[in-house]
Amino acid sequence: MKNSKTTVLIKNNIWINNPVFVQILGICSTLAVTNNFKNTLIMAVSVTFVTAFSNFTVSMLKSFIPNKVRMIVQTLIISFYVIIVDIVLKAYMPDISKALGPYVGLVITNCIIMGRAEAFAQANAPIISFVDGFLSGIGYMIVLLPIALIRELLSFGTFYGYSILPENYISMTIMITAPSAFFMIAVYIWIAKSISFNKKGDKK
Amino acid sequence: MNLKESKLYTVIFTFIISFAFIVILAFINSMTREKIAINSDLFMIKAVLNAMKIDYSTDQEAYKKFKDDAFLRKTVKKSKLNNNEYSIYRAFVNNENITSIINTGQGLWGEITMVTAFDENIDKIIGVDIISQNETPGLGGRIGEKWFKDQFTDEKIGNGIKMTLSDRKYGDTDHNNSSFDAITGATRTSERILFIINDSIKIMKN
Amino acid sequence: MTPNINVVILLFASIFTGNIVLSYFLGLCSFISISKDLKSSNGLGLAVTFVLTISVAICYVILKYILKPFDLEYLRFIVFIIVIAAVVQILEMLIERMSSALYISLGIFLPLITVNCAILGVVLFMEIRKYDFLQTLFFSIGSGIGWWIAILALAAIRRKIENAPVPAGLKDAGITLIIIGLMAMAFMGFSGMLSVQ
Repeated sequence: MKNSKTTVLIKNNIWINNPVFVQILGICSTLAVTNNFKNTLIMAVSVTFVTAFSNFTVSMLKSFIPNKVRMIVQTLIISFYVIIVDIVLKAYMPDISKALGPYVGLVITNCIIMGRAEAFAQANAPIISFVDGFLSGIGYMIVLLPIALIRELLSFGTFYGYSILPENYISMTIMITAPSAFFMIAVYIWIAKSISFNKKGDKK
Repeated sequence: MNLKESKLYTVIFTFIISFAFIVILAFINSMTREKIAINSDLFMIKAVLNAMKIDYSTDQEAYKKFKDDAFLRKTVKKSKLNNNEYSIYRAFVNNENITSIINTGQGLWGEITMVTAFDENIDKIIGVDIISQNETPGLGGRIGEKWFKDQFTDEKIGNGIKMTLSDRKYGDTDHNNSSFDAITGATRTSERILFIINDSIKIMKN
Repeated sequence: MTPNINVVILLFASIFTGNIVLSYFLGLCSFISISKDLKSSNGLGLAVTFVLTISVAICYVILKYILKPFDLEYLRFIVFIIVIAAVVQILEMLIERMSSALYISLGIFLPLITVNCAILGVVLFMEIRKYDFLQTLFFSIGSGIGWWIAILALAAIRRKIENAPVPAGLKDAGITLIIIGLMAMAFMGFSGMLSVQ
């Protein structure tokens, strides 16, 4: 029973209702750093961590939270975890913390986290909420990591900082700058939607 | 109307939960405070050592070498050009007397603080490193990358450093032409670096 | 140390060369969803500019006179987000009481703004770049106007292409993102015009 619920969650979060494809939510805080794979990975892991734990906490406290202050308490819980992430990055990965700059703090306003807390954790038990938060984080990751991978590869010829394209490869400046991120995500959505349309067509 | 929605409960609940979270955060913060402070010192220390080409393998070693007064002498120089004070470090490395200066200049969005190290007669740059910057990540932010900084290693100064625009991947590897390649897509930031380095040269020469 | 940047240049730079949404990706969620309708876009743009200016100024004061002297900077995220939420809430109440016409055109967008990352983003940029009060003020007004102009332009373009034949998978979100990408490229053209110094 619980197993099947988890499978549904996996499908929902990663494909059918992937927050990025379907609702274009929550890309603001991470899209900016997608020209570097390592930074994107850290950001996506942070988002996953914060979503999972804030979902868990909201679900634990849901019966105590008065309705009037629900949103502000949720925001409080989310910022609590984001501050922890910020402190940990500053203490143990100072270089990355510097490179990410203000974008770590902006995880707070990532709509996915608030959305999951409001839509799922409010109505479900702690453990399953945790799993749900974790999976939406993964769903988020599988959209942004390929984008980061392609952008870093085409703009610097590197992957995770290691040079892999031949020496005479000429960097594409456009891939470093902001517009390419918008184009990449548009193409990604195009591909994903086309695939799901085809699937629907088959069923008919 | 149950208890949960009453005004008093709301106030008490909000107060307790904020209090609990802040206590936990204060605890985590006090645990890591020292480490964060050391980290931010280390940025400066490592940058100075990197620019002067002083080897170190661990953070502790870097810290020890930096604090060793017999090895690395720190002085404060008041510039005659603009009356500002600059931190100067001197050391004898690889059979040369090397001097380095910490200088801050305007970046595209905020300040850039960097170290430039010179040989005894200010004829060539030994190396440079960035201490802090707020440039756009992935664009101007790449001034912190090794290939960019390596362009300045052992660069002849001549009549001052110049900047060139090219799409060579690893920048200008000729160290006798007194020039370096700007970062593609971040010409403005590269110009600022040029300005800070030439400013440092002027301060050191006078 | 405060960077030595002329405030007027900072204002124009934050509108054009460093547009908050087109080059820093902030405030994208509502940017995409609201831009379907030109009129709402105008209202939201105004509301964002308004809230941005007020809350960034309050955050600046709190940061400088409370958080920094008491060494509480690690709590800044919580404080900033609560300040933003409170400003939005107070504004909503004030506007509702003062003018019903304004409430209809502006008030309905206010709740959307708390989770608009543009506001928190500008606060955090202001902190990291160490601007002084006047610079902060011009930077936040500029960022708000920049966001406003961008959403108006996007809404107008979207209206134009509403009936255009777009591949099914690219409809709505996809084509909007491509338009935003093209707009970002156009705004990049401004970068040679002025730079912050």
